[in-house]
Amino acid sequence: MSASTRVVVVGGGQAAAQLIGSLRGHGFGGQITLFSDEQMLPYHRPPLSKKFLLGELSQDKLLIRKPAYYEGHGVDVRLGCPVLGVDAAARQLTVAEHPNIDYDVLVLATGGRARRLPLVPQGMSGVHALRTYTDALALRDRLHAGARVVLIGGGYIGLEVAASLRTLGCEVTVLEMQSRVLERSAAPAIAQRLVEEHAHHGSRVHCGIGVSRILGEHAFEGVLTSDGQTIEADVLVVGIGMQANTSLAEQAGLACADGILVDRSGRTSDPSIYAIGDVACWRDRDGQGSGRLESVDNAIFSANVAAAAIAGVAPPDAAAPWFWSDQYHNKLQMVGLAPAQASWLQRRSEDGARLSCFCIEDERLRAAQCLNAAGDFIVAKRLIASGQRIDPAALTNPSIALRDLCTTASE
Amino acid sequence: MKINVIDRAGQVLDLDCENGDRLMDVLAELDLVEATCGGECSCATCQVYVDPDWLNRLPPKDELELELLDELLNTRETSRLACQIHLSDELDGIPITVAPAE
Repeated sequence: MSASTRVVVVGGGQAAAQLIGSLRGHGFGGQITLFSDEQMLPYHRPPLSKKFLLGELSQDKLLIRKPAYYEGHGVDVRLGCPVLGVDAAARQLTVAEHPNIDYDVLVLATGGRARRLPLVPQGMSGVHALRTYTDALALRDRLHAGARVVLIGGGYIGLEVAASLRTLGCEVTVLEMQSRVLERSAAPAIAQRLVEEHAHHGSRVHCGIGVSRILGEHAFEGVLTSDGQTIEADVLVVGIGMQANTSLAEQAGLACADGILVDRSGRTSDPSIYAIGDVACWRDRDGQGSGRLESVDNAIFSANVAAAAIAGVAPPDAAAPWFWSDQYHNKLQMVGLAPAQASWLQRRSEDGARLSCFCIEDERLRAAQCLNAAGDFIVAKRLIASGQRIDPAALTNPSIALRDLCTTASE
Repeated sequence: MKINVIDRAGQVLDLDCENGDRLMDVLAELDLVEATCGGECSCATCQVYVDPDWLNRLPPKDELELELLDELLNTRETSRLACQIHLSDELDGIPITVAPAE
């Protein structure tokens, strides 16, 4: 790509920040313009449910890159500037007050929005979601010790928020419709340990229970559950996942499914348009499955892949996707995607503090989930990447060091 | 203040930074390390080698950093995770080498 190439990035999250850093890192000298409808430079979202909610992290510490980076690297950043339309044939964008912005390469990093609960009346006060900095700030301002909070959704966001709110002295009830928390994403033994942790800290976690009514007229007052309980509360936090922001892509005529469909280089059905981050739906992620992945790792990987294609350099190697969650002082690290009904092998330390679960397929490690076992996670990543055969008995025997199972890696 | 960095390509860089910056953020801003987890001591992609003369000016490693470094490849006695190092005036000029990616 030549120095006159104009790259326009839409959306200002982690993937956008990484794409820009990666392009400039590759020596890309063309124009880069970023349009974000948020008012803040790209920031780290994971701390929003944890350290930021707890008041342990200031706004400037959330920024992925400081303002001086964008100035110093010739990146034209337009905050609070939503993109209204894309004319793919003319390669032009419409932004408020700027009808025709030309691009050579367009990168859609539009992410998603928190899924709403249809039962909640529009505009009811005391109802929160957690996706953006503004969301986190609004929730934090609402909280005080003793506040009664109902959290709908026992996913990672719900459980992380539950831990933070309990730490702040709130009364916390988590309602999960499925038969257990983290049903689609964590091994049963891991989910069980986390639920015990939440109970130990005094939160109530109810599974297999839905919400049949929201109480209150203009202000939230509580919920009526599907099994007939009335839970009075001051604050409702809805953590039931995100919906991909595909409307711009759909309007531009790009192929979309649950997200914007992309090939292995992040290209959409229009060769001048890429999609990265939470909104991108991989047709085939280089042997690592297909579909959308909501994670920091995927935001970074997808951005690096697209940046390499745009800059005309070799793409980064694909690796098994990984995820993490911190709840209280528990660190959960996960690598690889396990099938829905996977059977998991367990490795427990003698004192029970460390628990790692492994999913084996065709004698090879496919996924690992490590709770308070960071070392296991590092080795598991390596074992998955190598694709070597694994002896299940050794894997589950805590007296054999996991690293001793590596046959291919060496220093 | 400045830090003196040798990146993975062997380039020597003098980087400006401020008192209170995390070493990882300074390196990640220029894409010199992945730092996927944003400094939560989860990804272990920000390994650096610290000049031995400067090592004792750094706070000791905690249990988590020790465990991660124990399992990483390419470690040396001078290895640290950059997310655990907060820069201060006493570290002005510290020489750092970014460890190779796994």
